[in-house]
Amino acid sequence: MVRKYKMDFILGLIFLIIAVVIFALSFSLTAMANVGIGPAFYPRLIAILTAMTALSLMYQSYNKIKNEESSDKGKSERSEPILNAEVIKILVAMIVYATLLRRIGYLIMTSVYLFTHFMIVTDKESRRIPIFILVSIVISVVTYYGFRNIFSVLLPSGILG
Amino acid sequence: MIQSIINGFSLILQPTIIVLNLIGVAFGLIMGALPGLSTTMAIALALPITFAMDPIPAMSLLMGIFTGGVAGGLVSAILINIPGTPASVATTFDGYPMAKNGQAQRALGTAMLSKFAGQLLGIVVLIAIAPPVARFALKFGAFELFALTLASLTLIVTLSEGNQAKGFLSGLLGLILCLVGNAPIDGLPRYTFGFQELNAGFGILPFLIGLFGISEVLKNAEKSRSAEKKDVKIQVESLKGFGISLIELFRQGVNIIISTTIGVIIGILPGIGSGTSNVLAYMVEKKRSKYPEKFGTGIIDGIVASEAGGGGAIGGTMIPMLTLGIPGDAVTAMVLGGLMLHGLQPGPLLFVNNADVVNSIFASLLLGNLFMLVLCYFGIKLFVKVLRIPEHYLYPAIFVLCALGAFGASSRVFDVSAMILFGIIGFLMVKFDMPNTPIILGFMLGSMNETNLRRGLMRTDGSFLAFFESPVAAALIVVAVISVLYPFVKKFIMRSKAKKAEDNPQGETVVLNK
Repeated sequence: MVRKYKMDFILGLIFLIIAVVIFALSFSLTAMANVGIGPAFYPRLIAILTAMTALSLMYQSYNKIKNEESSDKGKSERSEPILNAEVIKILVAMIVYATLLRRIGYLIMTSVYLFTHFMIVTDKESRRIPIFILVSIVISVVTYYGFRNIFSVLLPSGILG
Repeated sequence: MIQSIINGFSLILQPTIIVLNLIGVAFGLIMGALPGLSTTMAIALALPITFAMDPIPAMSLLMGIFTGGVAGGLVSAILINIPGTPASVATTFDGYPMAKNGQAQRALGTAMLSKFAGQLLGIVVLIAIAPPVARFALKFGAFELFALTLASLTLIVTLSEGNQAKGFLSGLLGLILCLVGNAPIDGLPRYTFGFQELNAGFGILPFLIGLFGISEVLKNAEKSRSAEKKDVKIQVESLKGFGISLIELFRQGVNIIISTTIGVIIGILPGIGSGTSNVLAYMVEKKRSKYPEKFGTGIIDGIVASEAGGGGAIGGTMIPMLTLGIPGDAVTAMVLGGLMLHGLQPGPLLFVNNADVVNSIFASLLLGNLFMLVLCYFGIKLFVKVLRIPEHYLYPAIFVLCALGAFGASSRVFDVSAMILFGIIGFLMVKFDMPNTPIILGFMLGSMNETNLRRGLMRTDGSFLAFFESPVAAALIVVAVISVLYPFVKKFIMRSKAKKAEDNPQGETVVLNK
C-alpha cells in the first residue's frame, strides 16, 4: 500500500508544479481595454484551486505513508515500473508515426507501424511474420482507399505522390 | 410528444438510414461484448465514417452504436464473467453463476429482455422530458449557465468513486487543458507556446479518442507479454430463444420499473451513467427482495435489476446532453463530439433550430433498441466467435482507426500527435488511479464556465453576489457548495461517531463503511 500512497504524493507534487507554472505564465496575459475581469483571472483561479487540492493530496498521502511505515508493515514491495518496456516501445512507434506521417505518407507509415506493433506485442513463438506483413499492408490499403473513395477523407500521400 | 416520435420516424424510415442504424447496433454489440473495448471507443471509431454523411444518417448510426454498445456487455458478463462494458458489471453477479449452472440461455434471454425494457422506458422518459427542459433552459442567461456548469463539475467529483482529491485534480486537469487556446471574449491566445494549431484549443475528438482509445491500446501493450494468458472457455450449447417466459418477466415488473427509474435518475446526473446505475439498481433490488440471500447464486431478479438499471441510463444520460450540452457520461460526451462535428450545438437552441435532428435522434434510439433485441436473439453465436479475435491484431488496428478518427475531422496531423498526448495522459491517469469522468467534464465545460462567469461579472460590474439574484443560479451554486463540503462533513460525522464508540465501549458498535 505504501507504493500507492507514494504515487499519490508524487501525483500531488506534479500538480503543484503545474499549478505554479500556470500561475507564473499568467502574468504575460495582459488584459485588453476594459473587458471585465480579464483573461488572467480564470487561469489563476484554476491554478490556486489546483495547488490547494494538490497540497491536500500530498498531506493525506504523507500521513498515510507515515502510518503504514510505523505499523511495521516493512515488507518490501516488488516495484514494477510505471511504463514497462512494451509501453515505451509502442509509444515511440506512435510518436514516430505521427512525426513522419505527412512526409512519408499514410500507406507506408501505417503498414510499417502495424508490423512494428504486431512484433512488439507478440513473443518469438507466436510471431507469424508473413501474415503480419500481409495484414499490415491489407489494413493500410483498405483504409486508405476506403476513406478516400467512400468517405471522401484524403489521407497524406507523402512520397508516393 | 407523440408528434416528435412520428416526425422522427418519418425522417429515418428510409432504407439507407435504417441499415445504418442496424449496422451501428451490430457494431456496438460487438464492441460492447469484447472486454477492453467500449461503447465510447466504438463511437470514436465510427466518427470518421460519419464525416461525409448528413446529420440525420450520422445520428442514426451513432444512436445504433449507443444502444447496441451498452447492451453488448451483457454477453461477456454472463458467459465469461467479464463485463464487456461498465453497464453490465452487476450482471456478472448472477449471470455468470447461472451460466455455470447450465442456464446460460436463460440468463442471456433475461438480460436482453430486461435491457430492452429498461432502455425503452428510459428513452420514453427522454422524449417526454427533454423538450420541456429545453424550453426552460432557453431562458438561462450567464448567471444560470455559470452556476449550472459549476454544479455539474462539483457534482461529478463528489459522485465519482475513490479519492476525492484525485477526482478534483482530474476535473481541474480538464479545466487546465481547456485553458489552452484563445481566451473567450477577448480572444487572447493562452498557453499555446507558439503552436498556431492550438489557437482554437485542443480538439475534442483527439482528446476523447486519445483518452479512451489510445490509453486502452497502451494498457493492452503493457500486459501483452505478461505470463497471465487467460484461456477463455465459453460454454455454449444451443443459444436460441430467450429461455424465459413472459409470465416470469411480468412478475419482475416492479423490479424493472424501479431499476429503470434509478437508471434514468443516475443518468441525468452529470458524469455518472449506466456504469453506476446497474450496480445501484442491483443493490436496491437485493435490499427490497424477500430472498436477498439468493442474490449472487444465480437468480433472474439480479440480472433484471442490473440490466434494466443500465438500460434506463441511456435515456437519462441523453437528457442533460441534448437539452443543456452537458454530457451525462463518457459515452454521451462522445456523442456530443459527434454532434458538434456536424455543426450542431447541443443545448436548448438545438430543439428550436434543429428539431428535426432531435426527433430523428429519438426515433433512432427507439429503432436501435428494437434492433438490439432482434440481433441479440439471432446473433449470440456470432458474438461468441468475435470474442475470440486475437488481441495482437485487434489493438494495432484500433490504433490505426483512432488515428484516422483524429486526423479526419480537420485533416491535421497535429491532431494525431495531440491524440497520442492524451493517450499518454489517459494511461498515466489509470496508473495513478485517477477517475476519468471529471476530466471530460472539465474539458468540455471549462470554456462555458469561464465565458459565463466573465459575462455575468461584466453585467454586474464585478459583483459576484449579484449572481444570487437569479433563483436558479443561487440554487445551483448552493448545490455546488454542498457537494464540495459533503465529503468533509461526512468524514467529520464518522470521526465523531468513532470517538463516541471509543468512549462508550458498552454501547452498540458502529459499523463504518466508506
